[in-house]
Amino acid sequence: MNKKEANKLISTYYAGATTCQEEEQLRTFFSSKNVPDEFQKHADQFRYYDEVRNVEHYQCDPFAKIDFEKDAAVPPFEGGVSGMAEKESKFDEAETTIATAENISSRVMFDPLNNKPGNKLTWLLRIAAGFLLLLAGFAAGQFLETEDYASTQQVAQLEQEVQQMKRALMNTGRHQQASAGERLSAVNLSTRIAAGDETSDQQVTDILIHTMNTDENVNVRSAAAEALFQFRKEVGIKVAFINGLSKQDDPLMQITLIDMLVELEATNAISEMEKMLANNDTNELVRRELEAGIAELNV
Amino acid sequence: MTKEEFKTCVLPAKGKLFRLAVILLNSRPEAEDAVQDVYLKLWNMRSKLAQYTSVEALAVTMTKNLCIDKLRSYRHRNQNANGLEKVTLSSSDRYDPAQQLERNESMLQLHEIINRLPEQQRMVLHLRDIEHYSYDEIESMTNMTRNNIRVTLSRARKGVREEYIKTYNHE
Repeated sequence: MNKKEANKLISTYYAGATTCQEEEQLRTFFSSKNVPDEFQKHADQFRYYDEVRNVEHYQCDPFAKIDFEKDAAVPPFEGGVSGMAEKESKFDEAETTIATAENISSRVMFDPLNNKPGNKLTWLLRIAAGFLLLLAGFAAGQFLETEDYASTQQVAQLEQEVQQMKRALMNTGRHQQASAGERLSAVNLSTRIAAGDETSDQQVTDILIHTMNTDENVNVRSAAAEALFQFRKEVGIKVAFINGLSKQDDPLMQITLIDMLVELEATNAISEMEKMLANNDTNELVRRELEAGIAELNV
Repeated sequence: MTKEEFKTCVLPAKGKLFRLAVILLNSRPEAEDAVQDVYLKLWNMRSKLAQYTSVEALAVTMTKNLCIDKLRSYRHRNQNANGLEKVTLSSSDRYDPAQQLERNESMLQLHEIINRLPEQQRMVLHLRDIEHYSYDEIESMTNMTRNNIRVTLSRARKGVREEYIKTYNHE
């Protein structure tokens, strides 16, 4: 390969557009003895990637946490008894949800807005989670029996979940009732509520947008933005993000929103971003993200 | 699926899963732990593994998700008012390349530079430039669009180049 060809391949490489074969060619070129000086910087990077690959040896036993004997005695159900398998997986999902919710609540204990003592909080959360589990199990059972009954049941269950979410997240004009931990788990649960049902999706996204814009806790706002991203196919999400971008002054939120707008290829966000860039108060790291984002969207 | 069949099926991916976890978590013990968690989950779903065209791809996605969850929970605990605190694990846990890589300045610099990349860029760079996965494979592992992968990869590669040139010029 001559210098000219090499240079061409190298720029294609930095543009992220090389194929596996072209990268292989570059690797060979860079590992040869007579690499011209000006290519040394690139060659070093390639050499690093090769060395790292050879050096990372996993020495532990990856199966250390598995108890083969115990599980071998009670084999899991194969596809045949599908009813049982579905119930089991819903149960697992609910279990993990409860576990995550409890983990989150116990980590946010020092939240200054939390007025309730620790025990009551966990107790209430357990009740709420148990209720959800009951509903989930009930809905799963119903769904497996008849289609008709199931759909009304499902809709009723959806309604329930949306109401609970509303109660946890919507500000009733005074201080928010639920603690930050509860609000955070409500946001995380919202993504599981989405069942493709138009009206409930609309309600859920409205609640999430409200939370993203107004919640007092930046972590909850950020989680709401990310949850909204799951609903990105809905009409109005892009607009909500752009509005959010102009209202938020927290750098973490700004960066999260910029990233998402770039992902969504939202070109009408460009003017808002340029406005922020022109504003001298904008945080340095956010500026960099803005520049990168604008460049991206202009492509 | 018997124990032996399971091991044959999942063991080949061990190194790749570990390398991915190390680059995301920046800690050897955390990465070892994460891989064991992934293998446990795989064992628990062993009856469904036959349905997957690539168990390796599944395992990589699971590893990525697990690591990102771990990072998020650290972030929620360690954030300061600006909300941009980086993940800091105890210094004894930190992955120290000096033990493994050739005692070579430029290699160490590159290691540091890559660790400072944002998590998504670091991950895509790792999957492509170190593990040589195809775009299709990366798409299914990360749920990113092809275009997004190209863009992120480009940013990551350029980022590494810029930082490296800076340190290069200071010598």
